[in-house]
Amino acid sequence: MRGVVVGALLSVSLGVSGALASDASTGAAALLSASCSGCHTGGDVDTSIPKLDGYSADQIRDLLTGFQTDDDVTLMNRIARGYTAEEIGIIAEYLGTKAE
Amino acid sequence: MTRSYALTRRRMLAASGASAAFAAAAPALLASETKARVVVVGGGFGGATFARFLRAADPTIEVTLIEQDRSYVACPFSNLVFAGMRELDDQTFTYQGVEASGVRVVTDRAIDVDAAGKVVRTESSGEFAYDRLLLAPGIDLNWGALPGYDEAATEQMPHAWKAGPQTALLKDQLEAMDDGGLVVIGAPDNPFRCPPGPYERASMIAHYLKVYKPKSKLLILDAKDKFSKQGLFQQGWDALYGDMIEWVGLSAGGQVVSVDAKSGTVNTDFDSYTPAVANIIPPQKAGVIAERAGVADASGWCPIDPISFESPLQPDIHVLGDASIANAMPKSAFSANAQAKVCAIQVARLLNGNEALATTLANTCYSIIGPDYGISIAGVFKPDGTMLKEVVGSGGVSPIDAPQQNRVLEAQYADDWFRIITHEVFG
Ligand SMILES: Cc1cc2nc3c(=O)[nH]c(=O)nc-3n(C[C@H](O)[C@H](O)[C@H](O)COP(=O)(O)OP(=O)(O)OC[C@H]3O[C@@H](n4cnc5c(N)ncnc54)[C@H](O)[C@@H]3O)c2cc1C
Repeated sequence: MRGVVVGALLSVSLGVSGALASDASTGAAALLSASCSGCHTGGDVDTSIPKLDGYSADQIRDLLTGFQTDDDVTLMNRIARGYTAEEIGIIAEYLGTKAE
Repeated sequence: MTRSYALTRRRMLAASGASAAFAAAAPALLASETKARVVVVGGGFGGATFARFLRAADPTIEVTLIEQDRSYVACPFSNLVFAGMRELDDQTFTYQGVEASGVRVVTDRAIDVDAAGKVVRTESSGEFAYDRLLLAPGIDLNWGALPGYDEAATEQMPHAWKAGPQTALLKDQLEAMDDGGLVVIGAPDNPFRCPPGPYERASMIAHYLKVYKPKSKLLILDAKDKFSKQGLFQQGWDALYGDMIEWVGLSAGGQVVSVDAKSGTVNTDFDSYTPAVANIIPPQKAGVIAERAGVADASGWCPIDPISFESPLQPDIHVLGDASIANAMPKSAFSANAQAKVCAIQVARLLNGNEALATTLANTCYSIIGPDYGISIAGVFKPDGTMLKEVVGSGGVSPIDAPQQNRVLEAQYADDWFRIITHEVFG
């Protein structure tokens, strides 16, 4: 599985669960997070765009919330400002790596 | 441990957590091998993404992708070919990865859709019945909208708005031109594929001219009075290309009203030009199969439900990507890919007897002005009634006064984005 992008992974693993088609909260979280994998990959793809590998839900929530008021980044501030605190929480939970 | 394993396990946990809802759907899943048939027309950023994600979302759905070409030549960053910064080969992808995801790929042209009988007809592979159909045919040129610009004219005055032989032809013409020649880019009115595209193209051609033909001039004749990322492009042009690029907007008489390909003439209401190279980007519309299916309206584009991407004109047909009217969401590869991931989940839900869920989508488009000089536009969009609207306070372009380091970073991010997204689309 190494080197597979988050998006593909997301889908492969979602396929295993089948839950996004039947469970409303899983479906909603997958839908909200769908745009992220256009840029943020996982695995060992060589990229300077920060990967989401290994971030916990709390870290993702803090990062996205921080971006909303940070003008020293290239563009994540412009994206993060489009999401409510609740939506950020859902995305963070969905994409965050569970504690080992 | 890599993210992949972590995510996979997490999703499996989520599945057992959601066992009540899942159990209800499971017997139906097991009862029949194929729950439903979905046909996809168009294997670009929208269609190929949709096909792969739908298979992954629900492997009991049979997914057939009808694509007319054996390989796909991506438009994003095809402008860099003119600057010698990329090769067309770097833009070309096959459908092996899509097939490996369990999608049946048919190399053929869809020529008709019987929306009532729910069947797609192809040129030589027969008919394909569907429970739901996804149309992602991209654009076709709106022949007749620009007098004199017909299929034959594209051989003299390439549009290069579908990447491939047209891109190679325009590059050849630029290389054959003498130093001191005039290059004209004719840019269309909105809406059209890739709003910043003509201006990125001007930048990349100017880069080539600056190095190899520095006495030359580039004139953009525009059917609009303003364009995407305008301030940033003009700032970059001043910094990198001096006065090589001149832009003439609509109210200054910039709109190309007709061309004569034989004599090589480009006409506006006030002037006539015979440039050494004419790159005419004509008005566009949804791929013609959309008209055949009855999902395009009088504008030539396809209205959609902003949650499910289903056509309000024909039930069980969804449209996304450039062909769709996604309102505030621009016609970009990023948009098509994001819409496709969302639509795949919605279609899987609908085919499992569940409702589509309103959600939020994002778009990011980078443009390259020169080596190490990138800029971006971003946006976040939500359904609002029948429209997709930009979330107030979000999105926008790179700050005009950003430090040079940001331009360097955005050029790097652009390059990374292309590799990442094409890997997600084509495997
Ligand atoms: C010069 C240029 C630069 C660009 N730069 C960027 C950029 O930097 N970032 C960005 O996000 N976007 C960019 N874009 C826009 C991007 O290319 C499009 O928005 C994107 O390709 C849209 O995806 P789509 O799936 O809707 O259509 P397409 O990618 O065009 O795919 C449509 C597919 O359908 C097939 N097809 C059509 N009709 C039929 C039929 N009847 N039967 C079978 N197959 C059919 C076609 O062969 C094609 O493969 C650029 C575009 C151009 C022209």
